Amino acid sequence: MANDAIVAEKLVKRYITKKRVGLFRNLTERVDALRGVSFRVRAGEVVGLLGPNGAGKTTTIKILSTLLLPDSGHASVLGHDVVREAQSVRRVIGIMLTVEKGFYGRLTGRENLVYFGSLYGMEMGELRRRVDYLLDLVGLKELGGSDRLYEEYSLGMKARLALARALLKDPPVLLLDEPTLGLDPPSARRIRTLVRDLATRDGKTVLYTSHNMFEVEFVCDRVILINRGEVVAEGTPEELKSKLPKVRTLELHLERVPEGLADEIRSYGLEVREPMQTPEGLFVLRVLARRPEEVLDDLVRVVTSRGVEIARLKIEEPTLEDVFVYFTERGA
Amino acid sequence: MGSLVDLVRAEMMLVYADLFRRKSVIAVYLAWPYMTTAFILMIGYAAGSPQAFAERVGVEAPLFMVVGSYLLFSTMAVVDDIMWRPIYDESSGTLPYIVSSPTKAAVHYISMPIPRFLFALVLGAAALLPLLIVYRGIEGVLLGAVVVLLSVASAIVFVPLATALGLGLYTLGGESWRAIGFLRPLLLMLMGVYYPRWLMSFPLYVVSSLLPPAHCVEVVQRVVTGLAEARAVTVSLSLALALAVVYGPGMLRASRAWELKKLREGVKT
Repeated sequence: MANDAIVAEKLVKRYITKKRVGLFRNLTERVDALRGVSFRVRAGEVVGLLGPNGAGKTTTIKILSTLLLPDSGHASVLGHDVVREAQSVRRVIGIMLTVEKGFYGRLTGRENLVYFGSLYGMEMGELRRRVDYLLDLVGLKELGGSDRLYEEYSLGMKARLALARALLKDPPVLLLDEPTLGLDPPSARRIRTLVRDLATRDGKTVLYTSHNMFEVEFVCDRVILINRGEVVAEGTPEELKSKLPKVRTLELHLERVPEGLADEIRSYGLEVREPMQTPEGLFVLRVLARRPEEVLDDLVRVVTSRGVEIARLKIEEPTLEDVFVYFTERGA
Repeated sequence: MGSLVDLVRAEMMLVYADLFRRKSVIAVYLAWPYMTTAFILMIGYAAGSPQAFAERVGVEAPLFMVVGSYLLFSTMAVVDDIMWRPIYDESSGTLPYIVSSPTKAAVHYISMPIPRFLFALVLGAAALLPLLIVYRGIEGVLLGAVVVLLSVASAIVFVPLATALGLGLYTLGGESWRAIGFLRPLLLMLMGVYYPRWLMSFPLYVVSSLLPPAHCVEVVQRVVTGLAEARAVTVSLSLALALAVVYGPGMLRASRAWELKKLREGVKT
């Protein structure tokens, strides 16, 4: 579609690694990183690419960043093919691949940005103004980090500088690979809010990978779930939650769990998980039900008839984490 | 694509931050020609006589060695800058951002050693001139200027071959300091810095003729020993320049092949 900023069609990538076994022999290993990944991201949309470790998220981001050639399939950014028109793609993207490194330790934050701006072909006067603006935008000025050596930066400051670099050329498309990994809550919040603002205020298209479900729900308009190199589900967080089997969890916090209680509950056709003890000494019993409201009365009666007091009772709504676990474990 | 001037300015910032934010490094650089000379002379005087050296080579051993060490420093700095850089960029995580920039690898590699050339000029004035003045008086200043300029020329003509060799080796065998460990002593020997080319055996002389800086080094040594003739100097410098031009396409090819290999494997983050 004309409105698509990022298009990935049947992307396939297989890594071939050689492992030394013995003095002269090498063992060749093949790892299928992507097995036909296809998705589209509309202009101005923030899309989360979710998946467990090794699912293919970083490989996808690398292909879109022109840092890796796909074995087959096709991908484009703003209509430019990532293989044939890599130089054009490089002009319209901003990338953030790792938080903890990626700059020169003996340069200050400001100098690092000037260095990379020069590589990006920015005119020096414009570059200096832009660097000044970005240091302020990401909050490094207020932290006193603009003219401090990068090797003295905290992880949070490094992440802010990495985001500033991604924004140097004011690119319409941002590819951010786990931009808040390992950050303290204030820094993570700053990055999240900035990314959200960049999309809503400046209309930037963002492809964002993360393991933090709360973050993805806050930042992203839409989520693509990827597992073992394949897209397993995609949609808005609400759409994905609605795709879950209609089973919800009733959580009962009990002072004790008498023998036979779980079996009696099961006799009503309900699934019961093993009880877990909380730090306060209560027992949490999770009961899965399709319509919890209909079985609630029976459940309370069964428990109280055994002389057990219910300290707390709640019906859990499915979270994005449930969606993640459901779709990734289903393919496992 | 970034203009070459802006790229050089950026590289200069990087090199000078590295040098001037570690004062001990500057001290070592300034002392380097003398330290190396002292080491070589210590061994040389133990095994032979300084008079024999002066008779055979035509110049006092300390002067010859200090000039040789300086030449070595300024030329090898280029090899180090170019060959260490991919390894350094990979370990510091900057490589993906360099590869994904619109600047072509070859242009970047041309800009990389220029700050070192300029540093070599300053270093030459600071480290080399005092000794040349002691040995040759006021004529030493002129000699120093000639040596410094020729050593920078030696470094410049070395860029295409050093890039082709470095990136070529990385493409074939992967980024490894072992490649540098293999190349460095070989180049050092063939350049004839400590052993004049005109004293080399014929096969070695032919092989060393393939190295552009070897011709510059020979000119410097002939100037220092007073054996320089206008015609021979012109031929040597023309040969150095011609070889640099000949290795140019090799440099472009090696940089493209290296980039392609990186893209096939995926640039490490």
